[in-house]
Amino acid sequence: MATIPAYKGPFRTSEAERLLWRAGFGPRRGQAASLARLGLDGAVRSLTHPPGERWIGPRPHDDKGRPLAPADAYGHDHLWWLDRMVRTRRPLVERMTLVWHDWFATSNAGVGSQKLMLAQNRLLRRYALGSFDHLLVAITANPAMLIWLSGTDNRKDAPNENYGRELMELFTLGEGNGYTERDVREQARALTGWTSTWKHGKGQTDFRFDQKRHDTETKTVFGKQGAYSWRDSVSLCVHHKDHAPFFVRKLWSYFIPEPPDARTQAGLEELYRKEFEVRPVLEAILRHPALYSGPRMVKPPVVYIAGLLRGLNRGVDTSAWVWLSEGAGQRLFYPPNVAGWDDSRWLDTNAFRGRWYIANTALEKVSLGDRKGKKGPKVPNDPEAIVKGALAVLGNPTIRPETRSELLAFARGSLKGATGWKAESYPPLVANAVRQLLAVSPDLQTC
Amino acid sequence: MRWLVIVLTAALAAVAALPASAGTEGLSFVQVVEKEFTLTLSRPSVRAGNVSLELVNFGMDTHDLVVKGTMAGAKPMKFKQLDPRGRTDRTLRLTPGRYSLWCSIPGHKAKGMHATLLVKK
Repeated sequence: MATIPAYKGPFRTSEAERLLWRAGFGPRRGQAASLARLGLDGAVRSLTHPPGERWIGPRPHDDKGRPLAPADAYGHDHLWWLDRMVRTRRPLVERMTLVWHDWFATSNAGVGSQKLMLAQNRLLRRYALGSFDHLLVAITANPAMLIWLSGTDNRKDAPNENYGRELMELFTLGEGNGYTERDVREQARALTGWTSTWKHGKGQTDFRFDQKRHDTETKTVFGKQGAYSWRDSVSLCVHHKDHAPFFVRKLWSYFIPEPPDARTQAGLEELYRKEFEVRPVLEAILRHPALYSGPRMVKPPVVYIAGLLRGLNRGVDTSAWVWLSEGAGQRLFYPPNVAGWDDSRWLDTNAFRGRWYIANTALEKVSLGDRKGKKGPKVPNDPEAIVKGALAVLGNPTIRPETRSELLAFARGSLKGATGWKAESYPPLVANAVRQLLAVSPDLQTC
Repeated sequence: MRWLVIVLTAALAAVAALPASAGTEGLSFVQVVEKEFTLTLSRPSVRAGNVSLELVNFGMDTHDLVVKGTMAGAKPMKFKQLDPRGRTDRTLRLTPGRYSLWCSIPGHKAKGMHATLLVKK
């Protein structure tokens, strides 16, 4: 078996921090240091074999203190999941749920039911670290997916190719790779039979497979013939020779921005082909040197938001996160299309403005200065202390020396000449500005 | 004095029977999704009291919503027209009973844009 390289360098707080950002939503205060003490293998294992779920932090609520209604109130679905990202002690499970949400991108804009989308979300979480084969079977029969990609419109007398095409193009093989247009048509025939019942006021319910609606004739898929049904359709894709290479490249790309070298690619494919299990492949990726020494990745908007809240020890306490996240380019349960979000487009000028507002909203509850007639805490007229304080508020993230220098230079320049009444009123303003600049710095936008 | 008590009692009963914008304590939520030509509720029933009724247009046409209790004397409540991808919400105080919901754009109700919400005690 091809050996997959493992990182052999020091596993300090900074490396643990990167691991927690790539495999989760960033550290809580002190969490990176604790994880570093486990060493690389122990740290990765703690993520891939997490304890039972227990929520850490305040329960979520909307702006008026009311509990969330994720199935019934617009935006509460997004807040509900954001809350899980903030309070989970199983970050890799939650992160992989987000990966699968992008991989099998289903939008409520087409489904029209937050309840069905939440059910799909639970399914993705159930298979977060498990068998991709089983996940693919389950998602093929999932009601939200059946609506989204026309599974219930696919009949033996009028096959609909929507799901059959995306099953191969986006979920298992890659565009135009290893399949033909004839395979698309034949897969559509194999996938016939799913139906539902329309009930006034309730929408589509009672999703089921109806043998009478299924095309039972022989199909030819990937050059093989058989009276294939929907389970065969899935199995044929998973066992296709081009599936493992596609799976490895795609899963890798969520954690490491540059493609794997040939030896790593071959090793991961071999590992995956054993039983199509996600966990061992993930463990190898999370232990790989490229994760610790390679270039940084831009944090997706919800990861950035959840990480800020985790670092600030703040819960989900406002509905603003819905439109703020949307402004930065990511509204959960509403991927832009069936191909999911484009990880190379997080930082255009429009989305960056969204990130600026995100940082501002995250920091508003810890902003310094007088508030509603009450005097705020005294802020020393000391640039070093101000920068140190800003880092502490955001959970002491690792930043580059040049970023620290820039923040110090800004603080010094802003406090220069602040004498008399300015000596007391300027420091809190400068401290708030330094916190904002730190939160939107490249160091905190990337990991 | 007795007439004043009768009048006040009648007035209170009328207010309780008529859905109106209300405070938001103990709030329930119901989402109404409109598409061509269906109207889907996020839940079939809700507890009486303050209900936030949210209308979301996932269709490609303009739609609106009318909500009317089936009890005697109930007045219809109309939500403004929504363009595709639009949303709006109102908090209503609903008393127990059945409420009919429909899109009042000509022809839409006949094509299927109607539903019933049960408000329980």
